[in-house]
Amino acid sequence: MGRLFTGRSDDVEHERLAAVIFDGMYQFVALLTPKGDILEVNRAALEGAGHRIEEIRGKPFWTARWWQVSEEIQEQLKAAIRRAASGEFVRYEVQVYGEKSGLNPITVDFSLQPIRGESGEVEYLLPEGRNITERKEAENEADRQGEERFRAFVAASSDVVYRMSPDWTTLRHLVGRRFIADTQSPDQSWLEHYIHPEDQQVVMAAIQQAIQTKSTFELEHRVFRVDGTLGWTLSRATPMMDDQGNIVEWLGTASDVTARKQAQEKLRKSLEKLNEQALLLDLSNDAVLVRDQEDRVTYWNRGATEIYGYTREEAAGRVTHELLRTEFPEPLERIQEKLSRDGRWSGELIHTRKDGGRIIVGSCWALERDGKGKAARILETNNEITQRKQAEDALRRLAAIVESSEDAIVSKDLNGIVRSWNPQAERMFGYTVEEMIGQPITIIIPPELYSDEEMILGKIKNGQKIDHFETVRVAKSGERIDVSLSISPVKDERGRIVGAAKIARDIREHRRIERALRTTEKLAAAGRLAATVAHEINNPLEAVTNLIYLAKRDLPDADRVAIHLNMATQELERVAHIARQTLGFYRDTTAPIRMNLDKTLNDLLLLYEKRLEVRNIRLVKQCVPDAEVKAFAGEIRQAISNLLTNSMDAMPAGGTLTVRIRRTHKWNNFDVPGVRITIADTGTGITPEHRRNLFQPFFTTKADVGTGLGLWITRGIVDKHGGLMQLKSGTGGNRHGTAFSIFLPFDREQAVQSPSTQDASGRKVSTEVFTQ
Amino acid sequence: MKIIVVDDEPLIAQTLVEILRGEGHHAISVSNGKSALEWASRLSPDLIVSDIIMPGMNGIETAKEILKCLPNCRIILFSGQMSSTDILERAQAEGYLFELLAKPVNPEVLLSMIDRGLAGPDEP
Repeated sequence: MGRLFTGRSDDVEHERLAAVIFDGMYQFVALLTPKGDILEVNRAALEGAGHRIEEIRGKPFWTARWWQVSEEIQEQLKAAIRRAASGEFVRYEVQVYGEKSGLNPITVDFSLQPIRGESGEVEYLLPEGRNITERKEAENEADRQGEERFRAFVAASSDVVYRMSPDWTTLRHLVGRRFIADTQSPDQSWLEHYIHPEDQQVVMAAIQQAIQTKSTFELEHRVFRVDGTLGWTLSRATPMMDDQGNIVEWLGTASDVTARKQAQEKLRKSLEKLNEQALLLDLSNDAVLVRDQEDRVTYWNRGATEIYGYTREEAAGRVTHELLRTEFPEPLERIQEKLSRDGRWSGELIHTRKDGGRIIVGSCWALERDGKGKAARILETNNEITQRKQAEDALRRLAAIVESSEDAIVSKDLNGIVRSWNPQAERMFGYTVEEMIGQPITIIIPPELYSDEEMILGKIKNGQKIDHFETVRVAKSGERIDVSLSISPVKDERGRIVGAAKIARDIREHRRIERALRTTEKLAAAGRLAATVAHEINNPLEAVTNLIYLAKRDLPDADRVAIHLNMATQELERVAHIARQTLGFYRDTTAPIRMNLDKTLNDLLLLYEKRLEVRNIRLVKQCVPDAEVKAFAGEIRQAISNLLTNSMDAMPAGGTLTVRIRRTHKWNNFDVPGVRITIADTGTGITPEHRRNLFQPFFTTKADVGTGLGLWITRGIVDKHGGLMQLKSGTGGNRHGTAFSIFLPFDREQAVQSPSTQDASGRKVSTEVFTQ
Repeated sequence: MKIIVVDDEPLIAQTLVEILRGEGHHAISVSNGKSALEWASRLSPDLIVSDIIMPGMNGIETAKEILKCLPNCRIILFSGQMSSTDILERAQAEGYLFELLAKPVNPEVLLSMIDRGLAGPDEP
């Protein structure tokens, strides 16, 4: 175009054509010198201002009519020309007179383009103006509507309210509510005016996002407040759209969240501090937890995780008492009363772990109050009193003992179901752990002894212990095993009986030794008897021998011979009687028979008649004649004989032997009828220290003649018959002496079914002292 | 020979005395150790024939007491019980040597033992 107006072109036709186009253009176009003097103006422009080219050619552009709207506009143009002359493209909207009909200015989109010559110097300026009045008016209308909307918004909201241009370059209006400064007229530097430099980038990013998605802008950021200090706002803006869906502006609100943010910041800092403390708390072995006023967990240390099994994540927000199924030692209301009164509470709680295990903890609560003295949260520390770890160690040690025990150790529940089975139990009974766990214990009980188990469970349920209960069990192989059982109740932490722990000792060896001992004692008894018999038989034999010698010598004297022989016959009858009794002594039966105790006693007394007489012992006999029991006759005879010889031995210088047989009932169970045999002497009595050992094998005070087995054997016999033995003894005053009583049930079968209570040493013996 | 027979069984003591008298000895019977001592001190017997197992003083105790006064008196003990040998052994340990016969004693054995003078224990 430059060339078009240089006049240096030879192509006239081209120039003419260019002039036609120039004049035909609808927008305003002109050509200026770099200084701003008018060279050419097209028709549209000339007509708009009512100028003719001749009037204004060569004159400064700003003096023309278009620019006479105001001096500011003329000054603005001069400045633009200066900038364009230095090579800058300048463009702005401006109001000019452009309508010949009226005095109203029109709005044009005005630009100044510098045109450079071949030397590169700016040779011409090309001003161009497009009438945008209608568009502007439409915009103004929209703006007016927006302003109305805005005003309604301002009225309805107490927050900061603002309007933004569609691209957010211009803040059109802002009501600051004394939080931030007001903006009345469009402001393109709002970002610097309002937003904290560190937040500008995030704000811009959020704006771009909102523009692209045509969605609500929302962001919390720092702002400069009216007084110049920094504050926090929550800013929200919604895009307003026209019918075509184009954004016409953004309408936003900004609320003052400074107080909240500061509180949050403070909280964050205190949380940081708390976290620091939490790290320390994590080092603690105690469970440390913090709960809010609704008892919801807000803090949970590692100790708590270890003790309860719940992780911090699992526990957070849960109500502690529900989570841990807390069992309180007193009503919770009372605890809370005390807590709010004293600020702290401590006591024992029962908690349930994640795995269901129940533990006892020593719990200490501290109430923390907020600034206003209101209860804010509760700090709780719990240390496990049950000392699970120690208990586990102890358990391990115990387990090792149980594992290596020479005794079978078994536990069962109250239904008799096996719960544990140690290796020795495996060896003893031949069943493996796998075979026995969950099985009834009756597997190893012989069928005829099932009632044993009921008795055992009954006692266990009553909290009683069973010591050294000797019985029989069956191994997997069918072999019967003599065992001694000690059974104790197993209690849970609340003391409820939940099962039984049973220790079974294989006493087959023990039994063999006992049997050997009994045989020995039998032999010894036989020996003692033989001695007695020898004395009782040899004396009459001596007399008979002498009488026969005399009969032979006096043969011719028939009368004398007759006297000698008659005497000899009497003596032989005595021998025969003793022999009969002695044989009866040893004729032991394999099955119990009905025996008359009075008769048995008489036979024995006959045997000892001589000894009683020789020792000057007076016999007092108070017996019911028809007392019968079903028993092993030989054994009962031996038992009574042992007591008789003891009594006689206790009175070397004479005394009174009292023998009594009475019908009665078992003295610890009146349902069992039977007979009581009492054998009492007036000897020196048994000292208390001897009394303790009286029933031990090999205990004797008679070193010369005793084997120390007599009373032990006697007790064994009485036990076997379901009977009881009682001892009374006194060693001082006028009433010294010893009385042994034996109770024998009429029928031992009946008695065995209701076992007697045993004393602490497991012996069916009671002792009583009547004088000291 | 002066003989005292000691036995708590009267029939034995009496029959023995009768047997000994039949052989020409001067014999009396007593039923316990205490009267044996009494009669021994009066009669100074040559021989004591005594049962061991007796109420009160037994035969050995009696014999020891008699030997204190009559050290030369001969003592023959007899017993129906083997446990008597224990008592006898204890006496031997104390330095006493007694002749022992086991009941029943064959009177001929006793008589020949008396005739033989001092003799060792004899078993029937």
